Amino acid sequence: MKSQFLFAMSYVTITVVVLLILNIYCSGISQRVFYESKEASMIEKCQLASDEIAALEVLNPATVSGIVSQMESLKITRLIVTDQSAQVLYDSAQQLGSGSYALLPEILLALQAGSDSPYGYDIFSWDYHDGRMDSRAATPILTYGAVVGCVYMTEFDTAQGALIDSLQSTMMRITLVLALVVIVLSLTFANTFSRRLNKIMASMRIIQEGDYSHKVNLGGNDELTILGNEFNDLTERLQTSERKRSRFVSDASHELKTPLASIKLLADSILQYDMDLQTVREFVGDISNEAERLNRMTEKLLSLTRAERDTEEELEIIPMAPTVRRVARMLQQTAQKAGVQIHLQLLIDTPVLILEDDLYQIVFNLMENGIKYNVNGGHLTVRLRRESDNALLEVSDTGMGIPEEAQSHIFERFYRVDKARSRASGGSGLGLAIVRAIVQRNRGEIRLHSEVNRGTTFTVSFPAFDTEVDEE
Amino acid sequence: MKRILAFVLILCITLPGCSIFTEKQTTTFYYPRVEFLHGVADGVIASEERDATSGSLPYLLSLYLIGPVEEGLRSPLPASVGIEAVAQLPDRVELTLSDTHDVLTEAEFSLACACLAKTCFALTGTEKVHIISGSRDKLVTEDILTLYDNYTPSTEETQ
Repeated sequence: MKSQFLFAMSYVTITVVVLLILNIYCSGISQRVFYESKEASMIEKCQLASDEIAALEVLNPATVSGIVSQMESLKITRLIVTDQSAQVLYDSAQQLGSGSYALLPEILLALQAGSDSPYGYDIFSWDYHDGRMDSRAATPILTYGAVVGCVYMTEFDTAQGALIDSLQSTMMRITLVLALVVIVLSLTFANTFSRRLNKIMASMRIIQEGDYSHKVNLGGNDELTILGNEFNDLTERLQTSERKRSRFVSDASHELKTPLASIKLLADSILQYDMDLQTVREFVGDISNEAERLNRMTEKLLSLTRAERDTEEELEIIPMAPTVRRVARMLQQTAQKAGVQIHLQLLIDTPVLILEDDLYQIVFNLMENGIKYNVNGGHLTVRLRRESDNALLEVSDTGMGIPEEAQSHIFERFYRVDKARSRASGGSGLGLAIVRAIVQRNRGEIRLHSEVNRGTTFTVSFPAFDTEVDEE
Repeated sequence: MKRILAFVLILCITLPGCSIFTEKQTTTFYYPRVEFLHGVADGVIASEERDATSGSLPYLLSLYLIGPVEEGLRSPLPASVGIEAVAQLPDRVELTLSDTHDVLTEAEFSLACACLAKTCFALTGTEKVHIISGSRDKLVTEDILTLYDNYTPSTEETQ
């Protein structure tokens, strides 16, 4: 069963039940009010008549008839007066002769009246039907505390009956109208809700088939609209991710294809042409270099994949200075060959929470770039600083710098500012992408500041962990 | 002829549901209700059908005095009150009860007389029942008993 139907029906059922209960309750209350009002009125009239008749010395049809005729109009339908044996003394309707017995429930109960009677002295009953309220009341006639007779009255009230009828029918009409409104509104709302939900589901099916550009437009200003907007954001991220994946595959295959093509060309040349040994050695050397480049690129791709994957290894709190010194030692020869001087300013060393291998990779890639893209006689400075709750690692070079238009792409995979120079120096375009992935995985940030022909500074910041750490 | 009569007799005996020989004798007894503050239709007296073979009036009345079987009904006379004499006259039935002055009010005695009278009307077909109990003496006919108020006023009398 559709959820919209279930939702609408449950809402309608609850509302209708509540309305019916209110209807019945109000109807009962109104009848109760009428009942109590009528009871008080009838009993009062009975007691009035009873008091008048009780004053008679002798109770017989003649005396009772005489006293009743003197009473002002009681505005009742029928009056019966009996003696203590329920024998009729007077009947205003003239249906019961004076020798007959009126063995009516109210009369018999009134004649039994007393302090031990569950009904007390005054008896009242009523019946409501066909828009008419039939009330009956009876009171004993007491003389010196003894029951000597009974006064019985009936009243048929159509006015109050009509009022009760009218009230009940009005309440029922209101109930029905409200119920109808609730049904219509519930179904409308459920239908609207369901339709919008179906739109989202239809969009999901389109996305599943690969059309990531599809957007859902729900309109409105409610939670479903928010859901629709979130859905659109998600599909946009999916689309971006898919685009990046395609580009990466395309770039990776291109980058890998290039050294492979070179190797093929060189190998074919060796096989096809007669060459002297020296030339063959040169060609084989080139093949070896291209293979080495291919190998490095494959390793870097693997590094990038590992860097972008969430690690499950336990992190450790370590100072950065020892790792920087180790990398500097590793790259000392490379720097010397490039004519670059390495300067370390590591006095302010703040521990950070990171894997040592990750820190090594970051420092190595940044320092290697700082040497590769430097000038002969240039400088590479590595500085450790503290900035409020962050530990900073700055790698500055005096190299060629990065043009402003390239700075926003510098961390993208395979991006190189100068492809020719990068290839010549063995670059793959993945080093900074790896650095950024590792930094972000360790909850850090990386910024760059660069000026063409003046140099570049990369600043990496991590949350500081100020604990005592053993020095290496 | 005899054969035809015998055949008819045998048929009537063997046919199931033959009402002539399987119909039960029932008697109607009238008792007051235990609770009678209800609507017009109920009244204070209700009837009870009892399986009883035809018997004398004193026997049936003694059966009556044992009390009702149905719930919601009660005996009109207390256990201390009994029927001392029963006389079936051409135009009436006379019942003499033991003294009820100390055990029944006037109204209760009237109710008991009404129940006894209605029962005698049903048992004997008589139209009058004379009931005597000590100093109490009532001659009851069907037309003097009013058990329901079914008076319907004219339009002018209705408010």
